[in-house]
Amino acid sequence: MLTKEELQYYDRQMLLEPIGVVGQEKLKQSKVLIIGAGGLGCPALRYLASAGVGTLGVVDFDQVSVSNLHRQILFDFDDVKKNKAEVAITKLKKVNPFIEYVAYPVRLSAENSIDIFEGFDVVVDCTDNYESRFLINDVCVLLNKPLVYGSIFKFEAQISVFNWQNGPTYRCLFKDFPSSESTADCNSSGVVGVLPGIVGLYQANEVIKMILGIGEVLSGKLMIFNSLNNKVTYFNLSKSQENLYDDLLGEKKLNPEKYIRPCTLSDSIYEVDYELIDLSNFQIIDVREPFELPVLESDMVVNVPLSELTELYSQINRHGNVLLLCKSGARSMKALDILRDQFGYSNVKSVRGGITDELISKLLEV
Amino acid sequence: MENEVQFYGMIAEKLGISKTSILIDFKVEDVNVRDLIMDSYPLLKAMTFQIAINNVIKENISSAEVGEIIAILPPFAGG
Repeated sequence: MLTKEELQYYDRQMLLEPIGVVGQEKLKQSKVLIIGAGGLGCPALRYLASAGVGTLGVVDFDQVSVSNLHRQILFDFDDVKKNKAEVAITKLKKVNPFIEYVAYPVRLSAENSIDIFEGFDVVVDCTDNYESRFLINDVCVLLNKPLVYGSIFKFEAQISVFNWQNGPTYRCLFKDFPSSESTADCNSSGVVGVLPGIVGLYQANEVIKMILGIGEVLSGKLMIFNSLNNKVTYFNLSKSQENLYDDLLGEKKLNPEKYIRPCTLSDSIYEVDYELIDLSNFQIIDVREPFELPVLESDMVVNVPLSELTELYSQINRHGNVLLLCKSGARSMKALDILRDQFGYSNVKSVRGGITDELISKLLEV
Repeated sequence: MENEVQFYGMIAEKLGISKTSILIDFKVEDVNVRDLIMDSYPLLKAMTFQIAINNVIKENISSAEVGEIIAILPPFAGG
């Protein structure tokens, strides 16, 4: 039952004939889980909260950083180093105090995802990596939840709704993890904040249509939007006839090993865990761009951005041990491939998982 | 008659083109577009992509689809 204050808050929305009080009640009864409170998640959350979705769950283990602020619109400078899920909810409570919020300040995993997803009606994938995307899809298939998908590459975006009313799933589009040559994220390829904003709102719109039972849900279609020329293209996607999930899904159980991007031979040989090595034995190369934070304030660290590697590689020692670092471990692996394949380096390794607070502390101790 | 091929995302970036055209030799009724594209652009052998013909996601093209647009669609992960 909507309160007097809620009726006032949702007045303009309820004026729409297909919504009214009945539709607003449907929204209030609904529970939506947003995974990733980043470039996609922030706008999706902002509008789903305003629309009156009764319970919003937010999953994000990450902390706000300054480089997030240009696109992650729920955050400001005071939020830096705070958990994104918790900050997002603090902000959203000011926007709409009439709904329930649940923060999950954890890294989504095969072990915790089923428990988290079970209480929600719709799942929205606002993540930025394939490991999470395949995991989210598979949990949605396992628990029969609709999945609203959005992803971007530079000025292009893909949007779809998977697993809706027995429709196609993400694995019907992409069966398994892409090759390492096909991967990139916003941290390594760049993004103008407007595009994830647009895509996050498309995702929120699909959620609202599904809950209200109005319009045409973007199921069985992949929408691609190009923000440079405003071209929107739809591709029809059918449900795969292959048994995609027989080897993946047990009885309410997932195999954690299926959600780790398969290592190539070079990954397994050249990636290292910093905990297992003595950093003082390495020349440390930070392949991030110079403006990226946190700055690694150590005499041991040389900044050779990936974008300039082919010009600046001579700063990297040919002999002795060399350790490559970046935010996530993805760009440092790319740098390693370039150094090895183009310039014949055989003494380089990449830090798995990228720069963490623990790694920074360890660097300062050396 | 040729088919226009449109490249999206990272594939367009890696190839340095967003579209081209190909002349398909229909020795058999159904031609596998993936093989055809990878023969023309060996760089794509290491990449993951889906194929759409006339906006329908599928791998094979028939002679009746000459003139239709072929789209090469890599996955995106950014968010």
